[in-house]
Amino acid sequence: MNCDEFEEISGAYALGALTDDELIAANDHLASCDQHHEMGELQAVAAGLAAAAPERAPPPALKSRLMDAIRAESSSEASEPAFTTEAPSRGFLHAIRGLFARPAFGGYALSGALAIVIAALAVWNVTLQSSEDEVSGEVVSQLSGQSSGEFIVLKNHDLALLEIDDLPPLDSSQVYQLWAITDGQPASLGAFSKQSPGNVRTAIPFDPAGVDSIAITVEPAPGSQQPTSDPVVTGDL
Amino acid sequence: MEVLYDRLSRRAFGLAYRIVGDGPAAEDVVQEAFLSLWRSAERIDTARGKLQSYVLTIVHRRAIDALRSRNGLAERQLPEYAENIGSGTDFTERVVSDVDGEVVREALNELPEDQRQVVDMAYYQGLTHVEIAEKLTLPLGTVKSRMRLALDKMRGTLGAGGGP
Repeated sequence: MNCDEFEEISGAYALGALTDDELIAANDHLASCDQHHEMGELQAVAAGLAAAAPERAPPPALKSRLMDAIRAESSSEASEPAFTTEAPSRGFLHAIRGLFARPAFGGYALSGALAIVIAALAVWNVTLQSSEDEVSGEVVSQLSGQSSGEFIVLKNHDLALLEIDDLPPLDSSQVYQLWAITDGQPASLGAFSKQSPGNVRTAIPFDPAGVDSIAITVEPAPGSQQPTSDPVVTGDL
Repeated sequence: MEVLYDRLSRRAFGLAYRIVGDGPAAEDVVQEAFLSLWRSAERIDTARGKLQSYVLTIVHRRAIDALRSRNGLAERQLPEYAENIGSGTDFTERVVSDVDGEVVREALNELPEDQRQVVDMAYYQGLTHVEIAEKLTLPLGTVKSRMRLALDKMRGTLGAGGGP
């Protein structure tokens, strides 16, 4: 496909109206050609068509059915080993599951932990989507040290979001452990393994009352009762 | 997920209903869409912050699947959530994240009838340009050019019109 041929089908492309074969050819062309700058805007217009459908309230029963289905899936996943190793990128849900799967850190029953995960996921998404509206009571602590990041406390939700850039990977014998420091006394907020490079993003239940600062230490897996090394990352609240 | 559902379910259900045309089928679409969102949560790049658009893209795709299957049409590929949407200009940011349904409806209504018709058949009925050309007994080229003209005109309307 050349540029002229692409232009001819560009409207159909943006509207998702190409045949499967044409779609493949069009994507191939776009991947190797930077001449079609307007496509992003045309696709945005097409995506905007979703908003043109009149809003309509679903029946309340739909919400209960959905939540039941999610709970059913959560409990069937409870047997999955959480917080283990190998997978190169653990992903957001795994990271959270890892934090709460082991009673040693907080003692949440798994079902409760997954409820928190679901809430956290929603809050996390909504927070990133809209920094101002639904979620208020935000306190952002800048983290610094070996890596930088943010610890965002959502007071209204008893949650915090941890985001750290480029936290160095550890071998499987070590974990990163997060501590809330109150009057000089550290209390564990959980631990996570990190065996591949990349950023950390996770959400944790967190009551900010009285907490002065946050610290992350490297601990022997699966974690320690008290920190055994100096923090690699800290932030004041 | 509950927060997310409360926030987006009216739009999601509205879109599904607009496409499949009946309540029970629209409920199935919305439930499946939110479930798949929950299952794929770890793959969603939340930093892009286009969650509404992402949810509606899933709803759209599933609703089209349901509609085509009901009408005895073959399953087909719909474009994935496009990487380049919203990644560039203020315009795309605004249209994808903040667009008011009423504004898009007006832009759609301002199109000449023959252009609005092909947009409707492509987006809300999930038909390919080949299928549309057959239904309307028009040359393929005519359908394709109407689609492009329609999007260009809507882009102009949305870009020139209101919004922040």
